[in-house]
Amino acid sequence: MNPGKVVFAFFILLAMTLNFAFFIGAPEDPGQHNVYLLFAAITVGIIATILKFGERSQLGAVLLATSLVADLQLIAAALVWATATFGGAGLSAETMSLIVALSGGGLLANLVSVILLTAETIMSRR
Amino acid sequence: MRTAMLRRKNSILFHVIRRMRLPLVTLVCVYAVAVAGFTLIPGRGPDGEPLRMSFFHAFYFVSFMGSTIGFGEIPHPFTDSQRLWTVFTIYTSVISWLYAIGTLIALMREPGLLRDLTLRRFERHVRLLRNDFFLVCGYDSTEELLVESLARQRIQCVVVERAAHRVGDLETSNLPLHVPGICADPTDAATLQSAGLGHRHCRGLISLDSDDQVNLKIAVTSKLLSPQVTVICAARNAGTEKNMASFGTDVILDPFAIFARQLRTLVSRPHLYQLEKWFTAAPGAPLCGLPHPPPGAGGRWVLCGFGRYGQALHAALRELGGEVTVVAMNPANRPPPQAVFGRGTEAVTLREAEVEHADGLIAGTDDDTNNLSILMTARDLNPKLFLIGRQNKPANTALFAAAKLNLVNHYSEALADDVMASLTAPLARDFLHLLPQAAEHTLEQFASKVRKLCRGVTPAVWRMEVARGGAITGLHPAARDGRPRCIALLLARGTERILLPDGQTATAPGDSVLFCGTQADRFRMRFAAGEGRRA
Repeated sequence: MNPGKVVFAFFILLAMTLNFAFFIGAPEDPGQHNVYLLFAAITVGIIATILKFGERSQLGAVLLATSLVADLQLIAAALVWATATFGGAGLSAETMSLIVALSGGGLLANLVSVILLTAETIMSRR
Repeated sequence: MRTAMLRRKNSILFHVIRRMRLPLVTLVCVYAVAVAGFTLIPGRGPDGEPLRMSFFHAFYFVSFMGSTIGFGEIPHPFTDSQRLWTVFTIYTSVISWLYAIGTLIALMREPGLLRDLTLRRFERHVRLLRNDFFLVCGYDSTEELLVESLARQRIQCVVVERAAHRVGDLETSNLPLHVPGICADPTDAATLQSAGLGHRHCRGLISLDSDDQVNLKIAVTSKLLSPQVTVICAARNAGTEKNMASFGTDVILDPFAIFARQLRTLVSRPHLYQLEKWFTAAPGAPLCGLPHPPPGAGGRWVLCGFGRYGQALHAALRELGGEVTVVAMNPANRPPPQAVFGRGTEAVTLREAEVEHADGLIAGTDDDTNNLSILMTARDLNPKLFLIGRQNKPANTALFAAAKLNLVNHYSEALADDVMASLTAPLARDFLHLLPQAAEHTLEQFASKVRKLCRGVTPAVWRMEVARGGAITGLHPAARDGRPRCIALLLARGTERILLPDGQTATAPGDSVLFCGTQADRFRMRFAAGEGRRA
């Protein structure tokens, strides 16, 4: 068992599960989407991205790309949330569904990342 | 091969990025904990009502606090529990920043990374070259002379040299062209590829190392990787020479053979010798003269040292009909039976070799100090001697110059001149090949004409395409007032070559003429030709 691999897989998986935890729930209801979960998803997502730096293989490059996509969408969601709250418009149902939709996109990218990681693990077992 | 090379080159950069991962993750974690803490700790609003910080305000506060900018307690004055948390986060965030920046600076100063960055910059320079260039392996005194001569003729070079201080010398040398140089092992195939082997403008590769094995390795590598590239190599052993010729090395230079040929030319045809020197030297250098009339073909010579150099010169002198007395130290080299045994540095040995009655003396051992000692002793015994010294180390140039010899045989100059002769423009090369066919008295007249024309400076050589035809003198604008300002060296018509054509020789459109003259005349003539074309 390689401890480096454990940490690597741990963060990639955690990024996805946190993202999912935020995403799940009625899209237009702010009460069903916790801001701390979004914060945690972004933080873990950024850590996962940093861990993917410096991977030389083709797969490493694709993994990094999926992470960057996920970060981009989650940060966009956080920005929408911040502008809606402090820009004076307030958190409407429309805005909330936009935030959830963006996090859904991030979830998809995180899912691809996990699938690629799993595929690589299975391939290397042979 | 290409991908393997790229992978190796990128590895250092990946290594750097990988080592930055832990500091960056630490930084992200510290920030995340700090921000989360501020959103959780109860605060107070402007009117004293309980109010928690939003993520936006917490991130804003941590951002300016962590970077030690410190705008103050924003948006509302803090409670004591928030201040406690601030104290904690100040220390953690500053420490994690120091850790990240410290790691980055340490990585920036890593020799491997610096070498990698230098290599990348060098490769970019080479890749962007848009003119034909020559790849020069090594940058010792020979290559230094060569690169300078080439640069003066606006021929681009790229240098690969093993010693860092020599690359520094190249960078600080005052050349008219920017010559990219890299500190790397030229026998490494990947290095040669980085330096432009396989580049579409790479015309040739030059390797003049004193170690035959190095030259051999470079020649094999370049012939395998890009067979179309001209390979010019030095070989001091007959075995190496045959080996190089077997796989198609284009020009193989043997410094001993060059010295022998030079001596033969000098003794039998001094004016040809002088002209060859002039037309291979860098334009603008002072013209070398014939300092002393050399002994005739049948002269009496004393030759000290019978190594490879001595043997080559011995053969050359015997061929000319000269009488040679050999002074040799090592019987393993099989000197001729009547040879005098000794080093030659003592007057006794030289007297035994009858130096008093000789016309010339060659000090050809592989030790510069001994050679100088032989020459000084011999001059004391017979001041009329024509003295030739073999210089082995470039550092001794000043000593050999002070000894005021008639001829110094120095590898660097001989090899550099010879390479220049094989690298010059095709028409100039034809000229040098045809020059020996001219009679010696013609060459004597020609030499005095060149000397008058160029006022003691090595002439510039250039080629002109004939556009309208007419006499050769008509090509030059200044010639119309009756003063010829340049000399035609060669007239090329198809495959026909006419050496030293007369000024009245008729030319036809499509011919080309090779001229020599001063640098100013060259520009004047080029300018006039350009004007004529526009008119």
